[in-house]
Amino acid sequence: MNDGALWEHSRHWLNIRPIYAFGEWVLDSMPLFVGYGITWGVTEMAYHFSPDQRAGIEGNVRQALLHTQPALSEPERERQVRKLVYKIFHNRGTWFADLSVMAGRRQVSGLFHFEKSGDWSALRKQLATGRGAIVASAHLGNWHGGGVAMARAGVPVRVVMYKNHAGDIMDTKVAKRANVQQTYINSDPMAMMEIVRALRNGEVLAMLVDKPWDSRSVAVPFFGKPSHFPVGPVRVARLAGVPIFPAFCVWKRTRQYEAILCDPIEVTGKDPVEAEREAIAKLAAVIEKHVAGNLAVWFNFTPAWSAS
Amino acid sequence: MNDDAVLRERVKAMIVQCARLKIQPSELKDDWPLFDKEKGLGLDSIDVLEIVVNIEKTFGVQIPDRETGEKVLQSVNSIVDHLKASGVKT
Repeated sequence: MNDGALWEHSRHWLNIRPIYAFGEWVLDSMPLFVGYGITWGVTEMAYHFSPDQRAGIEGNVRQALLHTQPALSEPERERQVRKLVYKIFHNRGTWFADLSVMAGRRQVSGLFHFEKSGDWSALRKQLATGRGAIVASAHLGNWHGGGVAMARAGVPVRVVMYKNHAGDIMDTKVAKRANVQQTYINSDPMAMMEIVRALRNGEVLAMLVDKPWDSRSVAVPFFGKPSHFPVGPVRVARLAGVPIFPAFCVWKRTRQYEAILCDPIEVTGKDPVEAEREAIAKLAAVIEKHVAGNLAVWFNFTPAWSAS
Repeated sequence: MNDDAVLRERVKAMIVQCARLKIQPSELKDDWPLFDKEKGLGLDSIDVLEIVVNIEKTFGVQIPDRETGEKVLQSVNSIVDHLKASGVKT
């Protein structure tokens, strides 16, 4: 069954299995500059023929600019929105090409570089207790790359995700090559058993927390307006007694990434509902800060202020 | 009320609380499938997590893996059976 909200979010004419297979074949069998060139062309087409996704990003970027740069005149803001949306589409194309290379047969260890930033020792300290942790990321930069960077750093990482229309074939290959475990939750109620076991075994669970995956969500301030964030990740953290480390993987240059690990957020307090809300608000604030600093790689194609 | 009935009431109260159900524990039938959306309660993976953690906290009984979870978390009856088999009386 694929009844999560993310199933609908991922519906797009390019998000089909043959496209992923073709992309991987092109990136595998041709010189990289040819592969990236073809990707640029396909992305240009996607930009012109994806009105819903374009509108989604436009609305998101507009609100982000309204909040972070209120002094901008409306015409200037709209000019920046158009420019950024175009850039975001093409960056998403690069994202796709990078992942296709990571999923393919090329030797990638020297091809992709991950520079760590933030206090990674805090995560090591947490793992030394014998319990795992949750790493929470957003549709920002190359989140798969973040998992790869963690695995390269020797962190036992498991990605928790919903299946989408096609991307999972690439996700699975990238994860396999990088020695990253995966758990698909979808509507399988017993998937949580695997997740609890993983946390108790000292694994790090990586998940995207910026889109509500079902009706369990809480609205917290995000770029000045209430936006719905999923309750699931903070509830897992609270019940398992583990901290949440916000983390992001943003690119600096071609195939050069910065893997940022932020300070942990604890989900504690006498009132569990309030503790969860507080943690979600803190998470949203950290995500907002990093999105604001990397707007051109904010790949949230669905309106951030209308999901419930 | 005998031991079995007391245990059953506690399990029902725990399920209602964990899943934030808008029904009284007494309305919960012993054989309702927990995860069936049409014939049962339609609980999801987060509810499973809450129930598993609460069974541990309240009764001191672990549900260590997926296989045990699939067997135990069928209905109130199956949870009660597992608790009794683990030595819980009330």
